[in-house]
Amino acid sequence: MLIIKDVSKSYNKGAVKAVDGLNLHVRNGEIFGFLGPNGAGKTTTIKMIVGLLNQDSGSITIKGFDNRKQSLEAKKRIGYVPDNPDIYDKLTGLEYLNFMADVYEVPLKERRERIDYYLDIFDLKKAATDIIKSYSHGMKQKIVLTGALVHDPELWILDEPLVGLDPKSAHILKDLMRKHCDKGNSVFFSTHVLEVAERLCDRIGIINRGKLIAIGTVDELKKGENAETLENIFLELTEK
Amino acid sequence: MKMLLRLIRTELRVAFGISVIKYRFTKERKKLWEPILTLLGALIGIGSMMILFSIFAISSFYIFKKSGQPVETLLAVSFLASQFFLLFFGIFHILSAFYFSKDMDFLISLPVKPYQVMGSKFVTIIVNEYIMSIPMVLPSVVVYGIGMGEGIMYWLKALISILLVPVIPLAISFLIVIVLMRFVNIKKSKDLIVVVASFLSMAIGIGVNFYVQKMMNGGMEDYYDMGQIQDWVIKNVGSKFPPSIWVTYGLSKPGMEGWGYFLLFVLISVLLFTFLLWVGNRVFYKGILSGNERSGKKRLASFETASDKYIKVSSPLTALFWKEWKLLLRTPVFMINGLSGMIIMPVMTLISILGQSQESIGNFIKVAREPRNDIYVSLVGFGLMVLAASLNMVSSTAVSREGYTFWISKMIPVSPRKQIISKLLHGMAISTMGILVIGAFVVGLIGVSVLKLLVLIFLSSLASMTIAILDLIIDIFRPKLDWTNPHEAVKTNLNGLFGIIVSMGYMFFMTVFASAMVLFRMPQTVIFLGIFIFEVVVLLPCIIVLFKVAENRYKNIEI
Repeated sequence: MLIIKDVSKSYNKGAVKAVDGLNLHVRNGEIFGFLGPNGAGKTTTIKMIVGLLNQDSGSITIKGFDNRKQSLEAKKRIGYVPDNPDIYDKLTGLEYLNFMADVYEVPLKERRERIDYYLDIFDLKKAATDIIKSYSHGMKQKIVLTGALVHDPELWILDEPLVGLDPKSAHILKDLMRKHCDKGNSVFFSTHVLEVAERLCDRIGIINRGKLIAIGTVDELKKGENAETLENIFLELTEK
Repeated sequence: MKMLLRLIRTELRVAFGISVIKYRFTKERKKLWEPILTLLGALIGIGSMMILFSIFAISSFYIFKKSGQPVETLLAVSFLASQFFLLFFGIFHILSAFYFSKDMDFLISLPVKPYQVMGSKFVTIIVNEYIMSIPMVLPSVVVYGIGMGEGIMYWLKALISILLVPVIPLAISFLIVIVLMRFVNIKKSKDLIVVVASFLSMAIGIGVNFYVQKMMNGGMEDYYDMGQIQDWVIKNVGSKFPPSIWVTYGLSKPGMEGWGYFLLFVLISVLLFTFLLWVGNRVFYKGILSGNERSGKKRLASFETASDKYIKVSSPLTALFWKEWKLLLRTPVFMINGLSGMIIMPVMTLISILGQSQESIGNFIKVAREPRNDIYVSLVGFGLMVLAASLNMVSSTAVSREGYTFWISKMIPVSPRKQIISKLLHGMAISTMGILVIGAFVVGLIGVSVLKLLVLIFLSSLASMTIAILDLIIDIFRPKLDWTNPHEAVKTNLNGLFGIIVSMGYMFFMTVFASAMVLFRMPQTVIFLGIFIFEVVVLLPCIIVLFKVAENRYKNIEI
């Protein structure tokens, strides 16, 4: 589904190496958790996958489409939720969702069904006609999420998706992620909540100072580091 | 007191971007040109204001002196003008600093007293207002001081007076705002207030313009003939705002009388400031906190009804086009910057015509309708149409206005070419409004034929398209995306200024070209055809460049 090959990215003319020779393969049907301390390169990686940042070297392919050379095709297959829900706050929730459905060319029947479904499960129907500016952080997060899923993308790229969500919505989202992957699709998400990663992810990648320092299932990681919990593994690996 | 001074220092650093300049100077020298250019622009603006007011002060001084009228009127007029200006605009500056600024929520949570927060913000506003008040007052004070050969005490009193000028009007503005807050939920009605205030300012500007026009056409003599000009100023204006008279007498009256007025002015300024802090300490936070509360607003429509209305299928281009419209119309600052040009220019034109006497209007129409003047009238009409079309910053801030939401434009599977076309169409739609308003004027006043009107509209639309494209190229080349307040996207965006310069350059060359054809006495049809060819020759490469730049920049702007 997602192949990242030798991707590097640096800032300030090479002075700060944010991502350094990253190689990663997210398979069909898996939830991939991307962990790392603050400033490790998680968001930079995610932004490169979705095309918000250009990698200095290497390639990223989504469902076989190179995200730079065939960017429109690649974008059609992605649903992206950024860490900060900055969206058009002068549109109403419904206007924003219909706009997203328009630009992703979602047919009327499907968009009606999906918008109705997501607004219902996220309990946003009542607020759908209010302008986004009046929403709380969590509500904005949910409307961005709905907008990202309205075209039913194969690959979900979620940057800290659980931040700001109430427990019920967080539970629903985790459920949605699982169901999505059970249909053969994939989810790539970053998080700081290690318990969630441990319980939800099929595989986990840990990045530190721009380099992938560990990858595998939770069990595989535990074996390698002889640790009992993911937290111990994380701390041990990132403090080396 | 220490805390107050600390807060003032921080507020001033934020307001004038001192830390940003420092950072640029030490760490980001490449971007240092931006604050330098802004500073240069401000200096040019303030400098030209100073020159204008100095000319006014010197000429008034000699007129008063020559006609034997009291020269201190000069001081009264300039103090009055600046204090009225501060009183009026102060209300908006206070609203934006105290009730609309984003740092208030953060400041409230700090362990500082309300009066300290208020005091620091108030002092920052005062310093900010000096940019306007000093150029208005200083030339008159200097001209009067030198002209009358005043001594050291005059200059000392003048310095203190100039520094205190904004205090009383701003304190009054602030008290008005506090009273207003008891009745209106200012924070909730923010958008409405901004729109009303902007149009009110425009109305006042237009009113002043109309008054000046009228005065220039006959009324001016009466103005000078009044003889008792001092009485007129004091009775008609000064009596409504005595502080400017106190400060005038404080500077101009000799001996104890002068000192009396001066001390009265200083004392009232200090008292009002103290009173303000006292009142503020009691009610200031209450007002802000009540503004933050959510109101139990009625929902406009049920989801089912709304979903039928809003969930419809459009092409990506149409969706992007309407999104541009909605965001422009629903963001007051964007709307005003986008649409006011369409209103101001035609209204100003109308006023400059109505400001004339009936007879000269009649003569103007008669001359304009003469067949031999036909080509001149058509070209002037065409020029006005293009000018009206270019008097907005819609295209030159089209990308910048997206700000932090630009990630959506980068994310969606719509080509940069299509995205930029939606912005071009939006910019042109607004320009066309300006063209049509001027077109209606030309038809109404001169009575040109429908065919000619269509030709003029067609030609000016082509010109406005080129201007919009040039504006878009400028903005996409270096968009200002890191703003938190919509004001920054348009008001402090240099792309608007660059857009105007480039548009003016384009219009200049077109004017030279058209004038040359007129000078060579070419037939009207040939002139129009020549303009058309000129427009197409410029337009085609512009389109190609726009698409190339858009493809490149949408890919390479990193957020």
